[in-house]
Formats: sequence, structure tokens, C-alpha cells
Amino acid sequence: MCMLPAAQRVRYAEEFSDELFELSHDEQVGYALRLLGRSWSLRHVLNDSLRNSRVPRPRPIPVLATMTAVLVTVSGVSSGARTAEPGDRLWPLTMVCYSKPARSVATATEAQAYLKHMSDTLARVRTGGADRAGQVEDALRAVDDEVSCVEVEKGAGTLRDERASSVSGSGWWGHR
Amino acid sequence: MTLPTQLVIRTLLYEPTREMYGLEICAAAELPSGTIHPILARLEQAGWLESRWEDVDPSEKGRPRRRYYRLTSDGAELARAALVRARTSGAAVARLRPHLAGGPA
Repeated sequence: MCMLPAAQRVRYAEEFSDELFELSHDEQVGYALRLLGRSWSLRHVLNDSLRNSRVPRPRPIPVLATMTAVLVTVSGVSSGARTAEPGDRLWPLTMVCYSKPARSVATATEAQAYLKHMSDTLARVRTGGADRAGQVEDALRAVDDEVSCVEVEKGAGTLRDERASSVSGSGWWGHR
Repeated sequence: MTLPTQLVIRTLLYEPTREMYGLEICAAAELPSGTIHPILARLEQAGWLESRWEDVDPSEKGRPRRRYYRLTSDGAELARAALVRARTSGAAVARLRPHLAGGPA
């Protein structure tokens, strides 16, 4: 009886005991031996039954649909993160997944802001003294350093053009 | 399908609506007692058979309860079809169990 799955032992113990009860003493020994001989077979059948009831087979269609949905979502987010810019919702993901291009974009953004600041400053000091002009030139040199960190495909050329036009427009380009 | 399984099915199909307990099935199929429980368990697992405990008080009856088996309606149809498809010829069953060879009811 201990060979059978625990969940079925009580049922078969009662069933076998009834059958033993109804047999004569001589028949009981043969019955018990035959039960013993069939116990592995019965155990096998009952274990199959338990396995089938406990572990439902995965349904291929929902699994495939879920996998497709996950794939589409991941690829969409990944694609969005690739082109995200500072301030976008996906920017933190971009910093993690595309750290090198993200650093480049961040530098370009900062340099652009800095360039605008310098351009404004330059306009204000147009009538100012030479000492302030020297400060502006130092600042522009710093912008050049920033721009050199930016990859070409991330807008380095555009930044250089902006920097050149802002400086030449102000009349300071020739001093460098 | 093995010959003992065919004999059990033929026995149950003989009177499909009648409930029978293990020893009774063994006796009707002329199989040794204690040999049919794996067959019954497999048929029950397949949904061909249903079983229930005898509705009596063991202390009143002076014996343990019996476990009764009966073919389900779907099981009876499937069992008939399976017997038709079974490789073992009816002649073999007729030779071994003449009273069951007349065909299921």
C-alpha cells in the first residue's frame, strides 16, 4: 500500500480490505500476492493521473502571443530609448542601454546651451573692454573642447558651425 | 488493448448501466482477483469509468464499503468503438470467455 501515491492510499486500502473481507481465507493469500504483483502497475497509472492533473500542458497560442507582445514592447522601448534626448521619459533607459551615445548626446546638449550662453555674452561685451573679451575667448576655447568630445553623427558638425557663425557674427573670430 | 482490458470492458458493457465492484468484475470476466485495479484505474483516468463508494454504514453491514464502478455514457460508446478496433479477434475472446463473446449490449 505504501507504494501507491499518498493521495490514493486511503481509497485503495478500504477497497482492498473490502475485497479481502469477501474472500475466503484460502483465497486471501493469492489475492494479496496478486495485489502485490500489480502494485507497481497501479502506482504507475495513478502517478500518470496525478501528473496530468497537476501540470497542465502549456497552450502554445497564448505563450506565443505573450512572447510576441513582450518582444514588440521590448523592441519598441529599445528603439525609443535609442533616439531619446535629455528630458525625455526614456532618457534614464538610454543612459543605461546606450551609455556611450547617451554621453555624447548629453555633451552635445550641454555644449549647445553653453554656446548659446557665450553667444549672448559676446553680444553684451561687444562694446566692452579687452579684458572681458579675453574671458570670452577662454570660454569659447572651452566650448571647442566640449565639441571635440561629441561624435560627428551626434551633431558635432552642427555645433562647430553654430560656434563659428556666432563668433564670426560678433566680430571676435579673427582675434583667435 | 490487452486481452484482460478487453475482458473487463466486455464485462462492463454487458450491462452498461449496472454498477459493479472489483471482485464482481473479476468473477464475471473470469480474471484472477486482485489483477484488475490497474485496468480500472486507467479506464477511470480516461473518463470511461466512474466510481463511487457504496452508500452504507460499514458498522451496520459488518463489512467495509465496496467501491462501485460503472461506464460513463461517453465511455460506453468509446469502449464499444475500441473493442471494434482492437486487434485481438473476437474468436480469441470467444475461445477464452464464450459468455462474453456474444458482443456488448
